[in-house]
Amino acid sequence: MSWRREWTLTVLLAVLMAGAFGLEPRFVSVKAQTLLFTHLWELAVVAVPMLLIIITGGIDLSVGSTIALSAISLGLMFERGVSLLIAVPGAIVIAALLGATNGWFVARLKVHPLLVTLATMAAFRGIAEGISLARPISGYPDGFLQVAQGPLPAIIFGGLAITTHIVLTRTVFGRWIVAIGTEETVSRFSGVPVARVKLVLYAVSGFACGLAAMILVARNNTAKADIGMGMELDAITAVVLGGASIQGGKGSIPGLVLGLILIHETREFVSWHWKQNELNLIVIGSLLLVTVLLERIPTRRKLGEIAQH
Amino acid sequence: MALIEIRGLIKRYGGVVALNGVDLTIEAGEVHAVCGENGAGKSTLNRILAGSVKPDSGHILVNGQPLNFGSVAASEAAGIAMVHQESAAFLTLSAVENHQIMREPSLAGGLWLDRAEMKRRTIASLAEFGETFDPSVSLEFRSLAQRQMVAISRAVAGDCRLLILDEPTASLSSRETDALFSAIRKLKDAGVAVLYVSHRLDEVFALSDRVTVLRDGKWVATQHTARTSHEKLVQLMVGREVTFADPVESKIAQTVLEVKNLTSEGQFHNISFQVNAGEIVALAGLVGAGRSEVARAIMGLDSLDSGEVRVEGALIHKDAIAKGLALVPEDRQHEGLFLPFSLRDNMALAARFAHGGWIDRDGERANSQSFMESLSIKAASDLAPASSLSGGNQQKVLIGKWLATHPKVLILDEPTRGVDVGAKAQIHQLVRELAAKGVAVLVISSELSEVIALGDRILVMRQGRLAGELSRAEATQDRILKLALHQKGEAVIASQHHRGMPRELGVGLLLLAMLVAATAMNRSFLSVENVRDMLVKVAPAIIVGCMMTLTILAREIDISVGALMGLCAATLGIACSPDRMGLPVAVGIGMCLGVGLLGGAINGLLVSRAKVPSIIVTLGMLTILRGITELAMGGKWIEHLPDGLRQLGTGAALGVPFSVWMAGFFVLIGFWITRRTRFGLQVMALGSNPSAAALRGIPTGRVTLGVFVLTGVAAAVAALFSSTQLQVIESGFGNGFELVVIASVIVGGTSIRGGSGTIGGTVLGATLLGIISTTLIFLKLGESATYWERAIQGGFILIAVLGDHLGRRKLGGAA
Amino acid sequence: MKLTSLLILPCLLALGCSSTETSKTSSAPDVTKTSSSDKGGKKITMALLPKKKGVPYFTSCSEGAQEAAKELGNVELIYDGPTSGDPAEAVKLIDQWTAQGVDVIAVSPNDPAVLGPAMKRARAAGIKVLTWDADADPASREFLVNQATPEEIGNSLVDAMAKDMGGDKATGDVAIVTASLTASNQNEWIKFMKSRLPKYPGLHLVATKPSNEDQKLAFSTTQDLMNAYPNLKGIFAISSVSFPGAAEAIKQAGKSGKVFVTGLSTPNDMKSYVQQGVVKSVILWNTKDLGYLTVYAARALVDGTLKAGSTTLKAGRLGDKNVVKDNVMLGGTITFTKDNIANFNF
Repeated sequence: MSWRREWTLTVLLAVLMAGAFGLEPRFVSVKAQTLLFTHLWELAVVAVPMLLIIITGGIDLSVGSTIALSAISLGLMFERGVSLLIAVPGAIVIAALLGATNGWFVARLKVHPLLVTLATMAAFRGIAEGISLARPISGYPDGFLQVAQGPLPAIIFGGLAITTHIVLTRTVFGRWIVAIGTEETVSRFSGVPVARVKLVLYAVSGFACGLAAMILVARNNTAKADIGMGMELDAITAVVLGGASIQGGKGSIPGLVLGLILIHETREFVSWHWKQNELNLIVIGSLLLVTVLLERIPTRRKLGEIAQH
Repeated sequence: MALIEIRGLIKRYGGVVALNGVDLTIEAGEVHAVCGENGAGKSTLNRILAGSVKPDSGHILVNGQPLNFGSVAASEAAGIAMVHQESAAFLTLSAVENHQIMREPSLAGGLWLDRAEMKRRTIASLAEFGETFDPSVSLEFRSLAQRQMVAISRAVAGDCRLLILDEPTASLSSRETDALFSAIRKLKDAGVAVLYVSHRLDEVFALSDRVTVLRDGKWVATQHTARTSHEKLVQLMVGREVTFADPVESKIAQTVLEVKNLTSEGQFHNISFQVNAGEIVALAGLVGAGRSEVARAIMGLDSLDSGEVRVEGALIHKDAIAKGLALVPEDRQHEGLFLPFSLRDNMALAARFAHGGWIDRDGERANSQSFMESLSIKAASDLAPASSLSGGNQQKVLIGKWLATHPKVLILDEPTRGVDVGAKAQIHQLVRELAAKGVAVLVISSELSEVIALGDRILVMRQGRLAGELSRAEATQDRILKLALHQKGEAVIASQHHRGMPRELGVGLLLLAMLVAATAMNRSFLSVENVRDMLVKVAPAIIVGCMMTLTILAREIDISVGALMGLCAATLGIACSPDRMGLPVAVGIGMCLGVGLLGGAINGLLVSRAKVPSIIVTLGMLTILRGITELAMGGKWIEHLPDGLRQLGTGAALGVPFSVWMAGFFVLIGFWITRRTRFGLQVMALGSNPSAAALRGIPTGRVTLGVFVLTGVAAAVAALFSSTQLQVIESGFGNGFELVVIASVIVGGTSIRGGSGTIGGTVLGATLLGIISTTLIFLKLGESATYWERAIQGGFILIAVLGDHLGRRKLGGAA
Repeated sequence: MKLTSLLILPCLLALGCSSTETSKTSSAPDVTKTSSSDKGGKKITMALLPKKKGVPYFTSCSEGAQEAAKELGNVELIYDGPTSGDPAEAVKLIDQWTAQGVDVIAVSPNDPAVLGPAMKRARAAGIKVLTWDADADPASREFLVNQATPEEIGNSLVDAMAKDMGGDKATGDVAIVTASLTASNQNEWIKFMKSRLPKYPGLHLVATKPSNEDQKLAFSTTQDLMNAYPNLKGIFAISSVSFPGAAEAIKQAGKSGKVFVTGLSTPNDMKSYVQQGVVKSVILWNTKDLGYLTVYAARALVDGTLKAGSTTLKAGRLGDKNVVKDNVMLGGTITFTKDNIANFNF
């Protein structure tokens, strides 16, 4: 396995941080970075299972909507007097079930994941709007709100990322994930429980959405049907930037982590320095295309590899 | 003068020399066989002749004229036609389209295909080979043999002087092989030269006049077939002598595999047999008799209608591998091996070297290294990717992968298909050794000599049933064939494939139900005003949807259309508004269309030239275009559009708004492109099978560029007619429109995997999704229903997608 | 091993940079803000956050703010906000300004609940925070620059509609085309509109439909509403995106004067509709003055001249403005009609 993308990202990140240090020294301070990083975690948490799903050759467009429905479930339970000790795990379980629903359509009925999750993207958010009548649900106790401020979101992401990295590189299950994305039929013929693996991954994606929903509700002090909108594209961008192949079979956690950090730092720096949010759209889009294009310039060694195929 | 003279052909791939100075002469009216082990350079030679590969040096003379390299069209013009292996078929296209693509009779240079003539030519061409099936049905509903016949009849139709056949009988039954041979002899009599590539030496001797042997990219010998022998050829190919061991009588022990009454409707019926420990049972029969299907069913890979499988008396239920069953499938590339994975990983995947889910790396290494040695696999190391190996070595890796599971029953499906002679002998020897160690072996093979050489007992399948059993003593090629061939008066097994219901039907019914419900609630739903307003509402989705259908048909996707529409509308407004640049309307329209064209072209170039997946390209473009729009608008909206421009959005002709006319126009364009143009056919072919499209000489890059440019222009047109409906153009114009368009195309039944779908379906899909919200307003479900609107829309998409999917699966059988 | 080094590198990089950074700035005077008075008259940095950047309403506010900043000469104005209108993005910006150490932040909260915690964080870092255009939790800010309360807006809308339709005895169905179902400001207004409607017993609210910040959708939804409800007489289009869309639908249906539409928008966006008679009244306030006043209030807040107990604020060309408790009053809504709309340019 080559680490080419990881090095590309590291270099880009180093250039960015060096440039930032020259232009805006204060941007690179620990204090600023700690504060700014609080906004990364929910996306990061969602991006991890998205990476796994993309490695299998699938996609999950419904993550933003799953977050919304999970958050609303929490809000409605809380509003009806359910203790948060029950409501929080409950909302996460609901999110996992929503993910499993996607997984069931994809794995058992064998509908293309793009179609399934396009439909559930509309449906889940719609249900969230319907059951909450689009109201915001606020008023959580301080203890819950503190959750988002402290290091817990970072710990959740760290745990998820490290676990996933180990699963991906050291376990049979991880190898199955890569195998399915490389050639699904061969996997089936090799005795890989393809349907079960997919079902689990989409459920894990739902579960992670549940965690992200809790982080968001705690940070915003509100559960509302419009949270997490557009997050699917951000997560996919981070995963692809991190070197995963959208056709499946390729992708790594170190790449994803670097991709996430690079997107985050770029965004924050661009609006810090130029104070124009619009620029960010152009910069992130270009960053994605340039990184991918950089690798299309074949090296000498690569040419040799191509020839052998 | 010889028909073809090949001189000093050299082709390198990077550091690897595929052809190293090959000279060859082919005379008109001869069948010239080319033999050699895998990697000898046969395929490269074929591809250079057919024009899909360009050599580094050397030249080819056709009738004394130098051949123009690297162009399929040039080769075809010189009378060289190639029959590709079956993987080069466009399954979602009809036989007519497969037969006629790249040589379609048409008016105005491909702008109007003569479909009637295409069909007539195909029928006539197939008739020469005695085939009379309906060629307007998709090839996926045709048998392997029929697909092959389409390819061969295509190759020889027209002015063919050299026909290249690459393993043409691999998937043919012997009856079909006979038909093919008589066709070849007929061509030969007509003065056509045939270059015949095959591993089956029987065929080489039956058919060819001369035979050339290649080894390691070099010419070794050309001999008159009549003056050489089987053994001599093998020796030339391998460079040493090869001996096939004689079969040994094995002792029969107790039953290991027991198959009882296995039935799967439309595939096979009531299959029962046993295999004992140490026994080799061969399963013979024609391609399509259901042998591989039985093997898959035994492994539990396909569902069964009835029957059971036992290993040492224990019933198998989704645990075939754990209970000691192993299947070496026939298709190495798509069923057997992970080509990008290392040998070590490949050989570890089925056996699962693990301690409680953790990979046991030492065990894997020991495993792969022991098999590399015992199976004498030639590779740089066990960490080399499987794709770097020759066919024979890949096959050994595949067998090693399954031996690692320590199977009690080993099923081998065509174990020597596409394997050279040397490796074939080794594989036969290996199978015998395994049996001697007590493994129960079931070998599926279409090669009668292999069946006889290996089988202690021979089972013959015909039409999904067991037709008979022969012992080694009874088995002769004639007897096996007699059992395998279809008997007169016997019921033909029902064709396993049906044509699904028209994709549009489900969506159409849903749409109809909605219209009826809304009209029943409120008569004014069908009032002139409301119908007109609804049409205006769905018009932009139809305009972009028609071209997006082409993009998705070509197996690409464009999620930047909404953002591109926004930029087009902004361009139009900034150019024409008197508050901004105040340019003449015509200039503004031109700029708007230009932006659409440019955006589409950038997408298209990045996808076709830089080979970046389209979803990534257009995801990047989506955000870039949004940002440009925001900056260009500078925080203000376009508040005044000139009246002339507003006419585009608000005007009407014959009582029908311009935008609806334009939608109708795009529907016609869409129908025209998909049904009547060469470009449209190429789009379908590209989406159906990209690698085959390249082999056929379809300009894939240009086609890809074309669909993106068309989609970009459609986005500009939609922006032109849709933004001018409003007096104010805001910066968020077109936001999220890509989802509407893609959902419309998909709900309309176009396959996200490319190659199949219709414009009509897209129109129905766009209409259905577009009028859901109108219908809900008319149903007057009350205040709280508003909050459920998005959920209802999502539900509709889900129902449409699932309904279409399940409907097709049920009707399409196990397709 | 390569993997670990890949991960560690950026961290080292960040840490290395930051350690030099902290040592360099620790002596800088502007890091610690003890009290506001030591800033009096000095150059300050002010951040002005709109709900959504790139819409004319907020752009015209920012123009007023620029004007004030130029007049004062000692205010460096940052005007930035989410182009998507996503409150989560707004939170990011507030945190960024907090990290940058600006002196004062003026927030127009798209979702007060979501922005509240970030505003509190800014205050905890010693930054002055005020709200403008819409209010948030009073604990998260010191003052509100108040142009109109949600109640005033809701009442003005309903009253204007009733007036357009013929006064107290107006009868007919009315519908609301809102921004999105989850838009908190609009939902607040709708709440007050619903409690005002009973004042006019002839008016029946038949539907509330979202336009999802999409003018095209506002346009077609208005068409659908008119087709589905033949007795529909009035439409409240209560976002600056949906208002022109709704007006255009009425105009194209030829129902000017039969179906009335009112809502909130800048006069420039609606001028032609008002002049053509499609729209009788547009509700808003002077957005330029709002931005202008906000900058003066922010300056005064930093200088310490605006503090608890203040009753007036000197605001340049606007003269003395009343301060009621913690609200700096701009002075109510304006109803733009055919007679006065030509006098406004924003």
